[in-house]
Amino acid sequence: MLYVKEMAEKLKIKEPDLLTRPVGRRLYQAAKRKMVSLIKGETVICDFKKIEVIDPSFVDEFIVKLIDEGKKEDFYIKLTNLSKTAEQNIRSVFNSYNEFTPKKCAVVTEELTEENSHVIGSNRKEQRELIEILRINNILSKDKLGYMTGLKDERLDTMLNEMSDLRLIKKQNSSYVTV
Amino acid sequence: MVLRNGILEIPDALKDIYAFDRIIELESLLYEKGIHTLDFSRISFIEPYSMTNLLLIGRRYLKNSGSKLKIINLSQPLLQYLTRMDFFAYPVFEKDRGLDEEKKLNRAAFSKRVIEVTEVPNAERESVQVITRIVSRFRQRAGFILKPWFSNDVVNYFVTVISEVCQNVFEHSMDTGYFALQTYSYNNETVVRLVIADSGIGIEESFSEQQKKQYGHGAELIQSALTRPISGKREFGYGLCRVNSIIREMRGNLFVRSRNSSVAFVYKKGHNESGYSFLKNELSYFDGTQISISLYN
Repeated sequence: MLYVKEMAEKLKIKEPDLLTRPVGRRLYQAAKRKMVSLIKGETVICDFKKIEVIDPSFVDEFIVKLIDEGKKEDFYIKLTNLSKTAEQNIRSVFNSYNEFTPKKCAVVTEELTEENSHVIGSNRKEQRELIEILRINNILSKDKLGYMTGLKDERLDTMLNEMSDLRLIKKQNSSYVTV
Repeated sequence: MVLRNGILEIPDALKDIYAFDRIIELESLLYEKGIHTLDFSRISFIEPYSMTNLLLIGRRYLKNSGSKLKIINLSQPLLQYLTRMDFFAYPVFEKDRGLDEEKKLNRAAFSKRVIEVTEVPNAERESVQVITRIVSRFRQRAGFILKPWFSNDVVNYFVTVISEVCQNVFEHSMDTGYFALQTYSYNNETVVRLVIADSGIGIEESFSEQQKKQYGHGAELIQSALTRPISGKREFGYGLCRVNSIIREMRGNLFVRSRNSSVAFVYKKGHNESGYSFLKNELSYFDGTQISISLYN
């Protein structure tokens, strides 16, 4: 668990708002120090309890970099206790990446988002559905996912591969679990 | 406009952002005609955009001439107001008279609807401290500043807006800027106006020639920066874009002027749902970038 408020307090960063790129960079470095002993494939839950606003600049320096680091070092990120504004600012940054660059950004959330799913950044209906199914069922094989969603093999493969690349789901042997 | 003995009579054009262009047109006269004094006897009202831009004019004059411009014939209410807004706290202007202590506006009462003029430095570390201070002051006073619009979400939207527009100063302008915010009544409307103004390099200069070929020049480039996540410094930047989307959601107005171009997005209630944008080029040249954000009730 990364308790963001606690980390900010230790760095003497004034909350309840986490704003600007320099603040994002400082917290990212602090988070990295906390994650040195992570086991491969582990999920890091970032808790934003009692944080009101994280601005787009902070999102880019903290959350996007954590996700990038996760891809590099093989860990997963999940966000919890996001305020409405924090969620919207994260979405605006992710949508910008997804729309205007080859880099794709998405993250799983513990709570239901404004868009009625447990993911920010993925605009594909099928992927959202897969996340919800996996949340309920915990672990499912590809065949079972195909049966439950009605997706054809090729389309399902595309979706699952994309979601694995975005680190929204984990592959365990021939089955899948959500982060 | 009357010019006599180095004194320039300022027209009553400090009451809205568009009228202020008349003042910008007069700036060159300061140097051409050897003006050292501004006569404010005709001024009836000063709103925050005009106030912060006056500071830029004064600061530039001080830099160019080595002396301060003098302001004379300010009415007592305006003198009280500018003093209260910390306009004279910056060593930019001289004035012909001071204000007796007992005539000063009560800070405890009045301060609830304003954030005084605050200098935003162009150094990263100092700037972050100032942004934190502004946001903290805003949170303390938000219930009064945003009274007609008040909700936790609107306060949080404003925090995002303050942070993003202030960061642009140290990220892009290469200059210090002035921030101010005030809620006031004008023409039977309650207006909350947030302003950030600098006299730095301007939006156009912060983009490469290659980027300008792609995104346009002047007002077109400003419009691109407000509607697409583009940046002159990074792979891309979302600050102004996000600010624009928040203002659209709150049905406010956003005005950005940079050098001799401007863009206004009008999402005000009663207007078209998707809003209107107004692009202007070939305005009188004014250094830097000035942003005004307004909500009306």
